[in-house]
Amino acid sequence: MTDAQRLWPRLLRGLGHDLVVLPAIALATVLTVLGCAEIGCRAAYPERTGDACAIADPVLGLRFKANCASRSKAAEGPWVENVYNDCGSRSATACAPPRDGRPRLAIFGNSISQGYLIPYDDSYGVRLARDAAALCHRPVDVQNFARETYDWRKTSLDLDEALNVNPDLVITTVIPLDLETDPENNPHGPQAHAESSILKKISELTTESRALAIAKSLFYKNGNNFVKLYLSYGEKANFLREPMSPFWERRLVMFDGLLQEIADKARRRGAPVLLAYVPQQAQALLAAGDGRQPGIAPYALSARIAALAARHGIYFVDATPAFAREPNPTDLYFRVDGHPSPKGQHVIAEVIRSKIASSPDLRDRFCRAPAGPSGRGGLN
Amino acid sequence: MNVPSFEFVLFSVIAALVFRVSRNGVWRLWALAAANALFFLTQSHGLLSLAPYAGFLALGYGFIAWSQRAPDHRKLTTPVFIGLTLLGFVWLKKYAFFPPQILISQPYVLIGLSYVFFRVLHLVIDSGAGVIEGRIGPVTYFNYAMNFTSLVSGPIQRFQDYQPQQASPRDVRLADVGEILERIARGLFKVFVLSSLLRQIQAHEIAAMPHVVGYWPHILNGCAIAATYPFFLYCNFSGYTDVVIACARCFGFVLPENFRNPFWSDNFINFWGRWHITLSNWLKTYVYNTLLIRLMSRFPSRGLEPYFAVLAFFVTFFLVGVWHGQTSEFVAFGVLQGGGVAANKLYQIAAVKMLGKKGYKALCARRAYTVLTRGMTFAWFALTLFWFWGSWHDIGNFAARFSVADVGVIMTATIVTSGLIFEHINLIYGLFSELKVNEVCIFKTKYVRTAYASLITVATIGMIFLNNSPTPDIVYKNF
Repeated sequence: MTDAQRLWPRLLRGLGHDLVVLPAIALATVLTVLGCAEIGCRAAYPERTGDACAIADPVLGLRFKANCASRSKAAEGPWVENVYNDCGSRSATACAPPRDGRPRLAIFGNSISQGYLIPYDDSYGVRLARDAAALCHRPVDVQNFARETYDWRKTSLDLDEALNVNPDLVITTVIPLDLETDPENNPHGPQAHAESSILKKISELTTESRALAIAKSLFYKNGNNFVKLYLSYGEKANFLREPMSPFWERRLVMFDGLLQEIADKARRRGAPVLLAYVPQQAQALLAAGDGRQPGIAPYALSARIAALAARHGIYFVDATPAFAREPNPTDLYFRVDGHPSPKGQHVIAEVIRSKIASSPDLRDRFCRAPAGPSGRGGLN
Repeated sequence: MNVPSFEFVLFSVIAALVFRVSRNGVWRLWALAAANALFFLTQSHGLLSLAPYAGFLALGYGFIAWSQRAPDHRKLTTPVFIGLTLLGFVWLKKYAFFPPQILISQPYVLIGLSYVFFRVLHLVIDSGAGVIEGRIGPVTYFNYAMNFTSLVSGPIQRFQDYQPQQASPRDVRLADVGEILERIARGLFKVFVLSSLLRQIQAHEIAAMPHVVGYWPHILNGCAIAATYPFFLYCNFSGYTDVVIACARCFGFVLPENFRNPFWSDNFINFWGRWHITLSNWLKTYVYNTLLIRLMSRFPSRGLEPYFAVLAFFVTFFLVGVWHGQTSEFVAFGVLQGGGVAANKLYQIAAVKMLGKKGYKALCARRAYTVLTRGMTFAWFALTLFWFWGSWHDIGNFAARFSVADVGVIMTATIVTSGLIFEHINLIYGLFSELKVNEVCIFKTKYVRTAYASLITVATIGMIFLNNSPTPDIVYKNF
């Protein structure tokens, strides 16, 4: 064997060793860093979603144990104490009618109304009750029947519970997600479609990573990043485009039916209903002027819902302008989770308070001492 | 295309691959010229905006070609062309002493002109002196002056160092690839992570300045404002330099280093030998040496020689300061740089007179003395940088917040703290250097370096995506 013949295998062996070992070291380092980041983030940003007081209910799907307390936490938010009263309502007071005849607010509907992952005192219902006390010149009682899962049939049942406590005003909120997700009634919706995609599967795998969640939260801090990404979601984001897609048109027709049912039930019990529209994070950013593009209409959906509410005699207020006016709308949300943060809840409370204050008939009906269902008028 | 960026690195790699397609000299010459021209075009907004730059380059080449063809007239024409090159540069850079009427009102490209100016002037001077061997062709001239890897902010390479590399660039072996990747990772980490964080810290401290309550928090705030900027500037500029040196190595070119642990300098003269080395070397060669020789030959006196060095140092480093910008703040910065170096030289002369050469050397070898002088060097540089990054208005605001006594306390605190920190880093570094495997420091093995480079790459990518503040631009790009 010549020297050259001996040299090549040696050279290749030497080269091969580094070509395998060095990339392996690089990969191991990256994985170690990511692992440490995950451990660090789990320690620094603990999360406990779900609610230990929640129990399955054959009719409602989910309800809360009476006189129960639990703790929950969003990775991006504070620890939250959930306390449920004798009716399983998230309220500091018993659900029996207040003895002093103070006005009573009853809240039903989605997780925003429930104050999901929000400290009780920061939830919009409690803040509103506090602020409305100044309007009514006496304390206001609040009962919360909202639940974190949203289903339109359930919402109607929630309303029954809310009406059972004889409220002077019934409040609920709606966000685009509520209209978008209803796979049972709409098997061809974007949600159903996404479930079969590879992207969805990858997304499910990464959802559990806390480090990724925190990284996303930081990334979304730049509103433009979030808007750009959101607008690429296809049908999910089409409520922001004009003309609205057939999917969203169908959802609006269905929502119209729900509003009709809510209005009828409330009218029968003589309680006025107020519907507050809460913008999706990207919508608030677009309304504030971040990443505005041609064909994008941040107020399109809320304007359509306002028209539906008016047709059914439901008081309506759009929180989008108030969210857009805030110096940094991304601070009004848990950026990854998507729910409004305590700051966002404060804005919702203020928007509803302003609506009550600026509608004399609503204010009078709400603030007047309750004299039983017969003493109340119809809807607006 | 921003420099440094992943885009720039990719561009360099592709250009280097095209350059290395053939070993033919003509191919390589033109491939490099194409890459240089393409990169330059990415920095412009239209061909017309390139015209002033092209005119400046043509002026330089015109003289070089003339001096090569007519060597007998060099002595007469060289000073004229040096003057014209200088005038062309300050006119294009719109120095404040020009009346606006004679300046070009249309926007035009200026990217890297300050560095191109040094290269062109060096060629003009050396061609005039007849020290450059062989004829310089227009493409070689273009490739040297406009080398895209060092166009934006240097380093400033001498033609004599560049020419042989262009003729026969070094081969790039697998180990070189590793080193290139490592250096790019280090450079990007310095720019995107360290300099970005340091800039944010300084901006935060400046914003907090009016709200600080209490004497010591007030002093601490002053120290933070002063001390963060030198580190920021170092990370920003040396990070850029790391990336461009690595990118040039893809072609087989070795660019000169610009930094050599500057904060470990134990005096201000030494500092300028470790900070922006290619600029200070250029000025030492063409200003300091020339001036010193002229002074010594004009006034021959052994006793005066050290003081001529003081004067030459002052002029040289005054010019270093003035070169950085067109406003009066930079004149003050130049006076402080020149003054610092000159005072340092005067102190050395006095110390040698008092202690003798041996005594002074013994003093310099003392650890406590080194800690003190290192701290003083850092503190002086940090203080003078106020005129570098701040306007007169900003400096006025600081003067309103910090009395002379406060500045004295801030300087003292910076001297002591920085001196001790640098000393402790030294000690820790020494301890780690003792950890060896097969006679090689463990931290210098390719395995640990690979892990380190991977670690900082992850940090850099994370920072780029997650940092919502814009990455600071390369400060020296604007000079």
